[in-house]
Amino acid sequence: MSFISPEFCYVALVFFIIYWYLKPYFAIQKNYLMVASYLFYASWSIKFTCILFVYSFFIWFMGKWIKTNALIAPSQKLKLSIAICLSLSLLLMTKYYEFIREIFDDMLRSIGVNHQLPYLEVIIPAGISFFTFQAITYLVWQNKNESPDIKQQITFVDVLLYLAFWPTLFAGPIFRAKDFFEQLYGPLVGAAIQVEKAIYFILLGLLQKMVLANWLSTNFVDEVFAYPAQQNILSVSSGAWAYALQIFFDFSGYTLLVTGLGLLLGYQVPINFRQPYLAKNLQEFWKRWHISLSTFIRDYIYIPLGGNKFSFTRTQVNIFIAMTLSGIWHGANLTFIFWGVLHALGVIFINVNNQYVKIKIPQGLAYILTLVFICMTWVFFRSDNLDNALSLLKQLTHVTGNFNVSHLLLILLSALFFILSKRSDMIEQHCTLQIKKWWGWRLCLLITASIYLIIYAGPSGIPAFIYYRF
Amino acid sequence: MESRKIIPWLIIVMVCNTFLWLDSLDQYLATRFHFYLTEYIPEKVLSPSIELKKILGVGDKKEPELKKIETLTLKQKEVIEAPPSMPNVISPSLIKKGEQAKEVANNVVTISDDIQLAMAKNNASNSTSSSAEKMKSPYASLPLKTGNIKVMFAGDSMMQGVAPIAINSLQKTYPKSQFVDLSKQSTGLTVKRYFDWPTKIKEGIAKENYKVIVIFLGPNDPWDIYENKKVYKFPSKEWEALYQERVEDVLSFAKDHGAKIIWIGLANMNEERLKTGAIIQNRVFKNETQKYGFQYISTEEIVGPLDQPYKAYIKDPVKGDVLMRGSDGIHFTPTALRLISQRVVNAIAQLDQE
Repeated sequence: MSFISPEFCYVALVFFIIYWYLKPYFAIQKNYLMVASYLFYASWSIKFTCILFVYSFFIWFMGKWIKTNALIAPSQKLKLSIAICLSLSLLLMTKYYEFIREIFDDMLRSIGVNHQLPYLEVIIPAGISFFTFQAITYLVWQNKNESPDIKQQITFVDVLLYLAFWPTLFAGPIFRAKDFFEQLYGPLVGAAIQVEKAIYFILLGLLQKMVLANWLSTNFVDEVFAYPAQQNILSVSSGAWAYALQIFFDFSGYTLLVTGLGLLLGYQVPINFRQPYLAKNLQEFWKRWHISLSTFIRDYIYIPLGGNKFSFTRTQVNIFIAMTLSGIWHGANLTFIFWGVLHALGVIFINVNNQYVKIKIPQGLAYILTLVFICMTWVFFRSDNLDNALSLLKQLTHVTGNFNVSHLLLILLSALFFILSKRSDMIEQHCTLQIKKWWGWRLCLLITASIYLIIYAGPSGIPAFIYYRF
Repeated sequence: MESRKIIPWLIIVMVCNTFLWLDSLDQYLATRFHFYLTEYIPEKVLSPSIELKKILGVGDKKEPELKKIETLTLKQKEVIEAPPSMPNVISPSLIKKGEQAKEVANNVVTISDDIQLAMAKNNASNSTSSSAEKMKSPYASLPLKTGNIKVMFAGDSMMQGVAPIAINSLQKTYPKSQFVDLSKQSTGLTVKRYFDWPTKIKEGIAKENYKVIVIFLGPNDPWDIYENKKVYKFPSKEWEALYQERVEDVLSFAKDHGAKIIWIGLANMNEERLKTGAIIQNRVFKNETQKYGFQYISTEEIVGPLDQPYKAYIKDPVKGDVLMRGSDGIHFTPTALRLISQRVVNAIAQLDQE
């Protein structure tokens, strides 16, 4: 059941009504939310639901084990390492095993060894990358001397709810354990908070996903990436830029939607985007794009590797490892690895320049170069394989193509996008204020009309979210 | 703001939008869940939403657009054609019927590196022009190389995987012909009310002058069919007869108008209902295409027969166990898609009159 499907809207309406009425009964409300999350997940697959339940039990158990102080128990660090490795094993076995098996078998064949790794008929549970990372934040948090009062209250049901929390279950943002449990046992939970903001986020999210992302994919992206050899400079450049916008609208739309739904539940979901295409360099881009993932990579991979505490070279190696892993996280495909490597090399290049060469690039040029580089890397991210990506980039040498109305519309949309992006905070404030002012029939009419127009301008059927497959 | 104060407004917004989009909601529920609102509410309740859609001109916008894949310019062709040093890795004999039969008899699909490379690079043009291929195919009747022949790819999400790979290959071999992918996910032959493939294909043949139609659909079909207020339960003899009628409708029309059909059969399915459906549907597809002298491509030969348990992997003599199916037990991996696409390319090559 997708967040943008009719059945979700009707089920959510009933769910929220009951949920809000249960506000005075914290324990019942919490259990109700947990059961609803599991039922929501079961609407995709009952098998996935069983896996998530068993996995949650395992994480809860590991969390308990980490906290024990038995004399014969290994050190805290070792216990945490074991727990993290085990919690990652499900992700590795389901998402990456086949990829590793193929590479390993090819390597063995190339050296003349006719031996194969056994295959596993496994299914990849939806949202596994997200709940695994959340599980890791839970285990690490359990190991820290933080919020002892809250930790004492955490039950198995709480862990079940945390890992299955329906707004963030399928595609994040990665909700860290500390943030989640502090809110679960905080004063605001159980009732809608910042309702005006929630309405604004939901409408903006729907507009971004249903209208903009879909329009871009239908008119520019899908055909370019499906038929790379038939493209020219105009179609490739417009396709790559359109995809850059599409993936932003798709993922940002999704994030806005779940943030709005989270606020209606009384939870503040982590921020995932801060106008990434306004970044003046790659480092800044990563502070603005998929923030919950990039900060996770920073805190749980880059810093434990040593961060920038050691030599300049070691720092760059750490950056390379962290960013490549960030690419791999998206999927078991060379295109994602290449995407991560390209970003790593881009960041390292900038660091080397800043450290040794010290060429100052004018701000405007730096901004354009960053955007072009990001669009180029998206070509690898979106392509089915490396051959297709390279074939597409090769088509940039074909200086042909007919400029048409669609291209003009893309330019207009892009111009509008940049203008509005620069004023996004102001627009958000203004809109939430208006929603507050217009509360009542006027707002009801406005929302009805907005939703009608979004559905009208949207595609037939239910478009899938890009990040659901990660 | 108190949460409960939101509730009445939420209900009003939902009711209003439901009423305004009732017709589309009916379409959605029928396509996705095979649930028909009109079985429970009078059709006139849908009228306002239908009228509003007409006023706003929604109707046709929701249909897939005919997208012409532009033919290549000479300059582009020079770049993408394989260099002369490229080995001719598809053996011409591979697409000879005898070899195919042998391959089927062995029930083994060879997807060794060189054949995969061949698929990627599509040397179909080389293979079809070789001396072995000069033996005229019984299907050959269209000047694909020299004429402007229009080929339509129709189907559901499975075709969405196959069509781009096949078209990329075909475009290089037949630059003068047009290959158009009209596939649309969640469609089939069971629910005709909102997306009617038979009508779409017939219109394509009659109005757009398509000469070849490649069809790959089916997993959305194993459901009860509602027609003329009668329910045709799935699976039943009546259901199969009606389904056969719908397939035949397309084939007879194509035959009468001189168009060729290439029908791709269904593969083994993980879910029992879909598997039962695939057995019935393949029987219908195969019998009907044979009856009308059209080509039928069996995917069972590629990813495992339907009379055996579902397997996501197949055994390749060179590569060992190769993953062929997606985790949903319906769709295919890129490897399987390339193999199916190659069969489509071969089938189209057989239509070439040269």
